[in-house]
Amino acid sequence: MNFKDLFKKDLRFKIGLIIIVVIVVFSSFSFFSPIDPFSTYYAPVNRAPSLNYIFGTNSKGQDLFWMTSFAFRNSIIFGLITASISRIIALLVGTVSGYKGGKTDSILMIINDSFITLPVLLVMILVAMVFRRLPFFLLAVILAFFGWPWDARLFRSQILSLKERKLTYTARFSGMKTLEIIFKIYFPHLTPIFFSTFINNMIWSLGLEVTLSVLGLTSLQIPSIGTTIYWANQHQALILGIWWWLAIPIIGAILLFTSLYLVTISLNEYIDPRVRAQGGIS
Amino acid sequence: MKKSLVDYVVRRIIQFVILVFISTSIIFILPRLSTDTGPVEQAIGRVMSQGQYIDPQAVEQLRENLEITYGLKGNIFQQYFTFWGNFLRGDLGPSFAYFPTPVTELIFNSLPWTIGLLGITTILSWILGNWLGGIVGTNRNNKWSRTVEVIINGFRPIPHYILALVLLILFSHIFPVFPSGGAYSPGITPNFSWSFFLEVIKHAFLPALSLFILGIGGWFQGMRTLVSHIIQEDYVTYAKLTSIKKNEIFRGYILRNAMLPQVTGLALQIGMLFSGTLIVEIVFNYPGMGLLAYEAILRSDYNLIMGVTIFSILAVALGTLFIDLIYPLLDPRISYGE
Amino acid sequence: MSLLEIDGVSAYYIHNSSETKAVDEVNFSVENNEIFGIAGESGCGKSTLVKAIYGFIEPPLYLKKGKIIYNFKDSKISSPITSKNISSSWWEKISYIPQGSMNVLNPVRRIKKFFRNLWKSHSLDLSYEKYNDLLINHLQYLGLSPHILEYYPHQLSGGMKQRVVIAAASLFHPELIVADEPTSALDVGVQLDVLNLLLRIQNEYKNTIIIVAHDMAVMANFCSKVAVMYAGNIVEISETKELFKNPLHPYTKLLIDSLPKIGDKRELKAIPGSPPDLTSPPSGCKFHPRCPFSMEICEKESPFLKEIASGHKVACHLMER
Repeated sequence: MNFKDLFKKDLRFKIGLIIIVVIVVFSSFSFFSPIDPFSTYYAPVNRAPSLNYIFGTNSKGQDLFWMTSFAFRNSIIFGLITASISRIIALLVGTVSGYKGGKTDSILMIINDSFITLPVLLVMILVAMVFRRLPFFLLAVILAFFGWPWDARLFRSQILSLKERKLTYTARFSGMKTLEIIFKIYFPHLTPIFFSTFINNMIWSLGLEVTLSVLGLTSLQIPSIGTTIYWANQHQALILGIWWWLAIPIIGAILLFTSLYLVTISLNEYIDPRVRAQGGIS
Repeated sequence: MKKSLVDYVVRRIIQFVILVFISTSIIFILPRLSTDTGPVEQAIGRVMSQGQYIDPQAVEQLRENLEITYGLKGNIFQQYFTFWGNFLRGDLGPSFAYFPTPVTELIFNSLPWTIGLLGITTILSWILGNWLGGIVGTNRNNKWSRTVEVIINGFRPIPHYILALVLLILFSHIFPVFPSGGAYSPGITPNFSWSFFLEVIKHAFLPALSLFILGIGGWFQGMRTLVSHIIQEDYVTYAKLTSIKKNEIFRGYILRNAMLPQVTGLALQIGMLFSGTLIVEIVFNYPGMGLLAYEAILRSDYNLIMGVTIFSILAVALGTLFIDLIYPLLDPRISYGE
Repeated sequence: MSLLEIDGVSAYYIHNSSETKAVDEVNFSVENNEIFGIAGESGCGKSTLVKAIYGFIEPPLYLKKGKIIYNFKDSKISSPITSKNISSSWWEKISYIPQGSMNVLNPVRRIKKFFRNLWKSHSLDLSYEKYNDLLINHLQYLGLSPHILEYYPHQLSGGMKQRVVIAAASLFHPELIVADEPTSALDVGVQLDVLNLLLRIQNEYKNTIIIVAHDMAVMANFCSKVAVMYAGNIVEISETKELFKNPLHPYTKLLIDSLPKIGDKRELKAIPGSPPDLTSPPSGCKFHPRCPFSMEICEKESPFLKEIASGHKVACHLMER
């Protein structure tokens, strides 16, 4: 995987990566924040963006610059947690199912498809309502247990086609054990899927975080993209004309999602060998 | 030849039953995993905290009634059994916030709005997305193709809530073109007149637009990729070789073949499309299931949420089943299997 | 006047900056009323050559040099035909039976729709009913029941699909039919049927059929003339009987030797080595690395096709002696 090449050739990858880096750098400012994100009413209320307060302040007297930095940091970590854990589950399920085949495969795939047809949003709403005061990042973990089925099938079909290829027969005849075959030979073929679906999953998870927070179902004290919008709505920001309280998380979120998406589609095209042979789609 | 078709149908139906069974059971178990004081105790707590003296026997009676109402009577197996008994009779229990209105009644009141919104936007975005994707996939070197691609794809990653909110702000607040909520203006009673119909369209426009914009991208992209593969197939090359007209190749060869995976894709997406509709309804106060769910959240009516969730599972699974059963009509290799 | 004159034709596949010289300076002509065979291993350029003859020249394939002259009964065409300027009446002059006929029919449409499309796309002054009658006759002539029109491709056997393709190719009585490996994917019994079918068509319409194959047995039994190709060049061309009686080029000899013959108990010889990489072919005579008789000059100079006996041409330095 030659990232430097991709960076040079593919404009989408370039733009996407740059924006992501900018956002990540911005969110890491929160580690040096002079302000405790849980404190309120330390700044004048509802000030529009100015030199003193670059992103303005909100109705709770908080400096939106630092709060936004915290918000993005928390949301990004949320997304990372869900994506990582669900990758691992998807990989495990897909590999076992694909390799073992037979009854194990059938059973796993029926469970898999049951999860696919679940309307995740509603289930998460139910979960959030039932287990009140759910820690923010625990929610991310729970979400991971609903985010794997789609990609488990991807891994599974990849394994299925790998199984039929020469390299499997060669490996088996040379006496390699099953686990060895999976780790040494299959995994390099699975890594591209791993990465591209990772980012995809992050986008999905972030979307759910925003949605659940906006509905007031997450730990509302924790600053995140979604909770910021929640509080803005609670305080009637739109009607009262405190537009920056809504605009900033929305614009930031759009930038974040778009850049992640740009990276993932350029990665996907890069991975598809047919496209690469033609010299790329763009 | 028909035997393979019957096999397929039977297999799908069995799958459907198992799926619904497993997912519904998961929903059944979830609330019971909570170690929080159950809703019964919460409700009793609320009553007791009102300060009046209540006869302990009455409290016991209340507790038992509540347990039956909440489906929490007996141990977990008894509860499971009762649950399925009720479910199969179409009873999802009463709503707590709108007690004693049954959950099913509330759902059926909101259902038409959701189905209308979901159905129309899905059909439109599926047809248009596939058609555009087919054109762009066949004519890749066009400048227009690239522009269309960029625009359509640009909206894809944005979460439903944010796009809906942006549209609301833009076209309801900043430029007050469209109404900001509801399915029709307050005070008007629903009827079958032309003016009411226009009211509905006016109110449904922005929600539908959000769903349409977000939906079209997926179909477009999928179709484009499919078409770029199909174009290289032997039968397309042969059609070109025999000088068959381009239009006919586009419709009969490329689109017709690419449609099949897209129909399957539709079946898989129904869950997501449904969730998206719910979110958009919440933003626009549209009286469908989404708003119902939101009200349930605000009032901690978790019987209603459970009911909505289970119903959604059923609806989504049915939708998927329906599409899967239609599929053989489109793919002669299945209906006229060897 | 020959039906087809191939004059110094070179056709390359161009990918980024590498050129695959699939057809390199090819010269020969094909007459009316004959079955002409083009033989050679996989990858020798025969498929590309017939694609060029048919006019199916689409990027990344480019006609780099030379021209092809078609002397049809009512017109002479000498400008290069590419997929851009193929006219809708082309199929009535020259038709094409592609390699791998297994997958050339649209899987979601019935066979009759395919023939209807053919009718729509070709400027015939024929009503659909009359066309249909002709079609049914033609199908029966080729041994296909008219019922197959109602079927989908996957319901037909490989042999039947091949016959459908042949039916389409011969339906408008073209003067030239190009068949690229018409029998490769079929069972042996079916192979014979298909080839006999082509023979019958040629006998009846007295047109020309070009058959491309790697199987010398097919050449021996069905073609009146054979051209042997190697790595994009024609290395030998002659009447069939003469070719098999007196093969002159070392490659031709090896090809013929690799055929099993009845009563022959010798070991079958495979041809040593493998075909060259056409992006950077060997210098001089492209066969020299595998040729058992190669000399010094073979590495330096590429030999030209020279007529050695009447109608028998060879491109080999051995003939210079």
